[in-house]
Amino acid sequence: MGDPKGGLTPAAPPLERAVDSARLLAGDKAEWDRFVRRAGPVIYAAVLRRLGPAGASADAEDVAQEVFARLCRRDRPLAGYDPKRASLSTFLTVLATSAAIDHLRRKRPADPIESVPEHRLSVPAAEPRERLKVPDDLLTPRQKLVMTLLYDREMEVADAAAFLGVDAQTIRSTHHKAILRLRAHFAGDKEGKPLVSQDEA
Amino acid sequence: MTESDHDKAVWRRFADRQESPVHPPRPEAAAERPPKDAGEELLLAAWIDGRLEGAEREAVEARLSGDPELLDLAVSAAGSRGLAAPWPKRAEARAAALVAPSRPGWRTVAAAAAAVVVVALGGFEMGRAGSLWLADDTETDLAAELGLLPDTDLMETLL
Repeated sequence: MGDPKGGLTPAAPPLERAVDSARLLAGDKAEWDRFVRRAGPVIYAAVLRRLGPAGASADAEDVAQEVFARLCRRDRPLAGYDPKRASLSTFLTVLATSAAIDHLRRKRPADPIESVPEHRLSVPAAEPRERLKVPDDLLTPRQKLVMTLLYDREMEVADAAAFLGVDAQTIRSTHHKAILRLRAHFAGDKEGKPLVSQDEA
Repeated sequence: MTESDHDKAVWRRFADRQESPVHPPRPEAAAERPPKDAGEELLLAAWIDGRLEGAEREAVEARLSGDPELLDLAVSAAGSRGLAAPWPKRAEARAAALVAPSRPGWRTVAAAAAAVVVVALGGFEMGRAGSLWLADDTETDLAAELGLLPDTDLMETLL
């Protein structure tokens, strides 16, 4: 996963303890100033970490401002924040990362059609849906997620383990079980197609 | 073809047959995405913090495996979790200025107005009493200067 944590430092103790959310939501100016002082570095770090590898660090201040502007709007997300569900710093990190991703999307010019990979342009096959469907419960959500991380995002086992908060052996074992189920399913596929088509090979 | 390539092909064959096929992110479609709501972001934060259990956790993981953009957000946010960066003072000032100092309530305004009226009336009364006392004092001094008895009507004498 791209950027190591260069220039960024571990955040101070939990924000929840430093912020009086009731006063913050009541529009208390002093509390807002304290919140900005404490939350700013967390939001800025998340934005910077996402924009940096895309060469857009110069926009980090503006994107952080967008996050604060959203936080103090009438429908502010802070009103829906529940400290029992998630830590405030993780919640703010998600908001900030989301804002940074949206910013990069807005900045990016549309890809010229010739540079778009063919599989993205392909029209879904006109075959009956029933024939193509696979059982919904063939893989568990966790197995699907592990396979997505390993094959679609091409993550290393260690990175996938860190992301899911489990050890590497658990990832290997989950992958192994998923592959066995998929092989068994396609081996008995009534379509009789080879596991790997000539084109794929 | 290696075993890993083979496994990947099996996975792709499965992923392409899902109701919501799993594909790598399509940036060209991103502009049309509806904005995420705070509830969705809180749920994702809870998942990243490892605070979800059972069906709730499975529901988030099912969404993550079927929505590459949401997965991208989760991976990126999880990597930034617990980090801080010193941000410029001017940015802090701009963010702080988003909330204006709160305006006083009507009770505070009414109390301040009442205080002004009381002070003004008090001042007026004190001024009036002071000027009466001063006028009286000035009359006594003048009578003494003219060598008149204290009970003499000064105005009558002068006229």
